[in-house]
Amino acid sequence: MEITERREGAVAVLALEGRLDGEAERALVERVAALLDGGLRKIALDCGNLDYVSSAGLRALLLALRRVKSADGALAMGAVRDQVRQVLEMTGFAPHFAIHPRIEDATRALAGPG
Amino acid sequence: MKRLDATIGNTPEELAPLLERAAAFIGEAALSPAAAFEAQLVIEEAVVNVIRYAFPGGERHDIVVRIEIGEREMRIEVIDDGVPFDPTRVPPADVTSPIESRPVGGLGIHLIRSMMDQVGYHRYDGHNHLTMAKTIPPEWRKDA
Repeated sequence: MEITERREGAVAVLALEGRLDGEAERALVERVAALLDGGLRKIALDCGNLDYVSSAGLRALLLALRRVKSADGALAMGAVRDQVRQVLEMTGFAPHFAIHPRIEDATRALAGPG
Repeated sequence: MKRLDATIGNTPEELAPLLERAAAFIGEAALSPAAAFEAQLVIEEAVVNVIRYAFPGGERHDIVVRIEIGEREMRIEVIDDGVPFDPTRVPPADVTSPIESRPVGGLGIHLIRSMMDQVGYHRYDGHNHLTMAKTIPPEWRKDA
């Protein structure tokens, strides 16, 4: 999986491209941890080019979310493809991740008034 | 009936090439990327479990993955000669408790159960056989 980073104001956007599986698991968690260490608290995951997620990928998302929450931050996802969304729904993850139709909606919601 | 027999070693590095072969085979069998996604997912989950738990001694073993695509059904079998282990007896994963405290284990078998219509386990000839079958939905047909 490729992870590329960009900034939209106070929001860090991580664009995930490819497969979020056992090989990519650690990379995502470390990337999120590095953003938090750098003082960022609002993180959006751009999933428009995320093709695949397995249970290892779900574990990475869960660990990333926990880190963000324990730092009093917020995590949102945008542009999640149907099959990835199906996996999030099957495992009860979906309600815990702010999932937006487009990445712009995710960053806007994070940037929001609060 | 179209059939793929693939044998890999019990190392994580061999998983990605196996999943690519599986996806290519499913594409050649005129099924959609959605079919390939589900097949890859259940194969990954089953094979990762075998790699992780079947060979406590750490020795090199073969894992056989068989995919059969018939008129009505996609059937996937994962065969290994590791310690007896029946994934169908793993208790249901916790998918409802608060996300902050939820255990992260058991999601793989949960996904297999959720995606496939039938999941069966047999132990014979010193091998674990995990079979996962699903009726091919109309939308999986490329020509649908």
